[in-house]
Amino acid sequence: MKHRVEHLFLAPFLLFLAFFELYPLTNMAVRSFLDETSQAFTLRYYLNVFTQPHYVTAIRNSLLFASACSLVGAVAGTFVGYIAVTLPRNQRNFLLSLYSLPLTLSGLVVAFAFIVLLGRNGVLNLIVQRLFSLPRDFYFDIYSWPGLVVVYSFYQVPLMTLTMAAVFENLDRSLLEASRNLGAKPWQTWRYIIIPILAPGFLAGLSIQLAGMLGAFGTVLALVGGAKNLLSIQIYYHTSESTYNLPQAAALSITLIILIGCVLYALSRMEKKLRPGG
Amino acid sequence: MLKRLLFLFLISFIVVPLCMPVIFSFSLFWQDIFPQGFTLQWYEAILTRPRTYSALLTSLVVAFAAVSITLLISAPAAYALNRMDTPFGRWIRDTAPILTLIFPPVTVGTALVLAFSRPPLMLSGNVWMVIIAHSLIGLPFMFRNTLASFRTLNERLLSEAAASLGANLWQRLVYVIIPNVMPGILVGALVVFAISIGEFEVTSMVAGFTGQTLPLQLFQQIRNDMRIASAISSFLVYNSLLSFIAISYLSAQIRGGPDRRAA
Amino acid sequence: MGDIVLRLNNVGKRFGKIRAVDGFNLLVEQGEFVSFLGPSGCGKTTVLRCIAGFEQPDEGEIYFRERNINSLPPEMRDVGMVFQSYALFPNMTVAENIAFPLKIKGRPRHERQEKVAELLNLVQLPGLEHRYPSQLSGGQQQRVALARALAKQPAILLLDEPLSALDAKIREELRNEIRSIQKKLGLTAIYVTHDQEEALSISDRVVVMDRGVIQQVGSPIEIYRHPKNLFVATFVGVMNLFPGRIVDKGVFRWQSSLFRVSNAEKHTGHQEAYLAVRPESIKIFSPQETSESLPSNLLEGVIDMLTFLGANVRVTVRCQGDFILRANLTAEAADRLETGQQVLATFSPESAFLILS
Ligand SMILES: Nc1ncnc2c1ncn2[C@@H]1O[C@H](COP(=O)(O)OP(=O)(O)OP(=O)(O)O)[C@@H](O)[C@H]1O
Ligand SMILES: [Mg+2]
Repeated sequence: MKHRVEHLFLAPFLLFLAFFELYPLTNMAVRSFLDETSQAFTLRYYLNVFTQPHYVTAIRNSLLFASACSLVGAVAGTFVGYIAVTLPRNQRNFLLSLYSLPLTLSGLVVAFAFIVLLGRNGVLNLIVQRLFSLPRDFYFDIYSWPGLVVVYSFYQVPLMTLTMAAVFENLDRSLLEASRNLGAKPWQTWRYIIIPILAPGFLAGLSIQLAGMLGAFGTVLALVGGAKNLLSIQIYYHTSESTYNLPQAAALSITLIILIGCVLYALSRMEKKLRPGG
Repeated sequence: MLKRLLFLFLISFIVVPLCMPVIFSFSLFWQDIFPQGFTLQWYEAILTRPRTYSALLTSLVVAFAAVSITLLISAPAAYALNRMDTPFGRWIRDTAPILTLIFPPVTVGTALVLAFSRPPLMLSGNVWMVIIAHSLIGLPFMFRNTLASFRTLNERLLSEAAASLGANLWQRLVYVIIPNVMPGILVGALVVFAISIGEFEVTSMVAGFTGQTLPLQLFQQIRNDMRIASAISSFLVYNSLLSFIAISYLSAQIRGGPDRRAA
Repeated sequence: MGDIVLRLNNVGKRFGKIRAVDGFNLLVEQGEFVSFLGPSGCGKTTVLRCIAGFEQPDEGEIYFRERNINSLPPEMRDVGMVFQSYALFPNMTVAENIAFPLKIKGRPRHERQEKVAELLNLVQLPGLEHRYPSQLSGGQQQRVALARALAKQPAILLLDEPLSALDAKIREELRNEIRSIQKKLGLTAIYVTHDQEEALSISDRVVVMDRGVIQQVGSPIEIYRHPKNLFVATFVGVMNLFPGRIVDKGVFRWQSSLFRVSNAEKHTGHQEAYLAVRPESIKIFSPQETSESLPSNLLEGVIDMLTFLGANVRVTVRCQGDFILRANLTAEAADRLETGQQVLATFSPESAFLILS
C-alpha cells in the first residue's frame, strides 16, 4: 500500500527517461548496425570508425585533448581546492560559489570572452606585445591545441576545485595530528595519511573531468569550427551539418559512449581499490 | 600578502573573462587595448532585430518549460526514492545524477534526432524537441538538488513526526515537506534555468527553424557581428550571475536554517 | 486505574533475516508509565514504531482500547510521539510547532494560542513562542517536542530515548520533569531507554528486552531485587554471580564452599544454577576483626582494587579460583582497607537468591 504511492511518484520520472533517453539511445545503437538504404545488418559504420584515418585521428585527438585538459584541471584544481580551504570562511565561500559559476555558463560566452581576451587582437596579447615591444606576429594562439586547453581550463579548474575543496574539508585534522604525535615526519604524513585519503576523491574528480571533456565541443566549435578534428565534433557534423550521415553519427556516438564507459569504469575500479577496505 | 595576491588572482581567473563581453557590449568599438565610447545600441539591437528578439523569447519559453518539466518529475521522484531502500531505489539514486556524464549531450542529441525525425514521432526540428533536450540535460542537476534537500532535511523523520501529530499525506506535504525542501528545489530550478538559457550544443542539433534560441543566434553573430554577439553574451553572463547570487543566498539559508530569516 | 489502554498480542516484526521483535505480549493500563529497557538493537524502537503505526507488525495484533489498530495509519492513531532527535519542523516557530496538531484538527486561532501558552508554561519555556528550533538548546528543543506531542492530547505518549542526546545533568532534570508532567496529567506513557538508571527511577513498570524478546516485566524494585534470568541480572545493575549447583533445600555449592540461601525452598534437587548477590549486600572485614560469631557464607580473598565512586567505594576482591567479587561499601567502611590486603567477605542468606542456568 505504502509502496504503491511511492511507485506512482516515481513513474513520471522513469517514463520520461525511458521514452526520451533510453529509447532514443537504444534505437541509436540498433540503427548504427543497419545500412541506411537497405536496412540490412552491417558493420560498415564501425569498420569506418576504426579504419578511416580521419575517424581514427579524431579518437586519438579526443583522448589526448581530454587527457590534457583533465590533467591541467585536476592538478590546478587540487591546488586551488587546497588554497580555498585554508582561506578565511567568508573568502572561501565566496571563492567556491564563484567557481560554481562556469558550471552553468554557456560555452559560447566563454568562447567569446577568450576571443576578446586572447584572440589574435586580444587585449592580453596586445598588452604583452606593447609591454615587451614584441613583433605583431608574436601572440598566444587560443586556436591551437594548447590554446584550447587554456580556454577549457576555465571550466575544468573550477570543477575540480569544487570536488577537491569538499575532499580537503572532510580531511580530519585530528588524523594529521595523530600522525605527527606518533612520530611521522611531514613527508611520511603525506605519503601514508594524506595522499591515500585524498586519492579516491581525486580520482572521482578526474573521471568527471575526463568523461565531460570527451563529449565537450561547444567552445571548440565556436572558436575553430571543424578545423580541429575531435570525435564529438565529427558526431556533431554528421548529425547536423554538411556531412549529414546519421548511421555513421550513431556508430561514432556509440563509440564515444563506450570510450567514456571504459574510462569511468577503469577509474572507479582504481578508486575502489584505493578506498580503505575496498 | 602572498595569499591575498593569490586570492585576487583566483578571483580574476573567473571574473576577468566574464568582464570581456560586458565591457565590449557597452563600447562603441574595441579594437585596441582600451575600448572606446559608451553605447547601449547593441542591447537595443537584440530587442529590435526580429530574429534575435524572437530567439530571446524562445529561449525564455524553453527555459521555463524545462524548469517546470524537470521540477514536476524530479520532486515526486526524489520524495519516493528518498524512502526507497531497495537495491533498485539505490541504483536510481546513484545513476540519475551522472546520466549526463555517461551519455554526453552530443550523443543524446544524435539519439534524439535519430529517434524523432521521422513519422510517427516527428518532434525533431521544433521547439518541443528543444524543450525535451533541455529537460534531459537539466534533469540530473534538478534531481541531485531535490534529493539532497530531502536528505539533509531528514524528510522521513519530519514526516513521521507530522503523521504522529495527526497530519495526513496532503497536510504533511503542504505544511512540512514543501516549505522545507523549497530552497533546495529553487537552487535546482535556477541551475536548470541557467543551463537551458545558455545551452548551445544539443539545441543546434535538434532545433530546426522554430526552435532558434538565443545561443544559436550568438553562434552566428560570433562570426558576423562581434558587437551583437557581445550583447547576447553579456545577457547570458547577467543571467548566470543572477542565478549565482540567488543560489548563494539560498545556500546560506539552507546551511543556516530559517532562523537567519527571522533574525 | 485498571483500564487497559493498549494491548500487544504476540507481536512480531522481521527485517529481512533479522527478527527485530518476537512474540511480544504486553498490557498497558490507563495512567501507567512503562519503560522499555534493553541493549542497543534489541527492538525497543521497533515495538514503539509498531504502536505508532510507522511499522506494520508481521505477526500479532495491537489493540487500542480493545479495538484492533493494525491497519490504522499513523495519523489516525491516538498516540503522541517524542523522537530522540526532536524532529521539530525547522520552518516553524516554537509556537507553530506546538500548535501544529491543533491546526491539523482545525481548531480556532485563539484556542491554539491559549494552548501554546499553557503548554509552554507546563514545560517551563514561557516566552519562547517566536523562536525557531535552531535557536534553541537541545534540552529546550526536547521540551518543545514534548509540548507538541502533548498538544495533541494523545491517549498514549510514546517517548523514544528522548534524553539520550542531552548531557547528564539536563537528562536527570528533564526526566523528573517528564515524570511529574505525566503524573499531573494522568497520562499513559511508554518510554524507551537503554539507560537502566533512567528506567528504574521513573517507571511504574519496566519491560526488559533482549534480542527482540521480553525477558522480564515488573516494577523497578522487582526487576532489581528479583531478576528472573541471567540476562536481567547482569543487565540491570551490577551482580555477583557464583556458578555452581544446588545441593539441598537452601544450600548452594560454589567450588568448595557451601552457601545458605533463604527463600529458595522451591529449588530442590541437584540443579546447576547461579547464586546472585548485589554488591551492596556484601560485607567486608579483615581477618583480625573476626569476632566470636563467624557468620556463614564466608569467602576469603585479596583486595584487587578500590574505586572511589563518590558516596561509595567499589571494592574488588579476588577470591579462590580467581573469582572476582564486587562489593559496595560506604566511604568510612572502606577507609581502613587497602589494595593487596587479605580480607573476608560475607553476605546474608536473605540477600542472596538463585537463578537457574
Ligand atoms: N528499517 C529497518 N531495516 C532493517 N533493519 C532494521 C530496521 N529497523 C531496525 N532494524 C533492525 O532491527 C533490530 C532492532 O532495531 P531497533 O531500532 O528496534 O533497536 P533499539 O532497541 O531501538 O536499539 P537502539 O537502542 O540502538 O535504538 C536491529 O537489529 C536493527 O538493525
Ligand atoms: Mg532505538
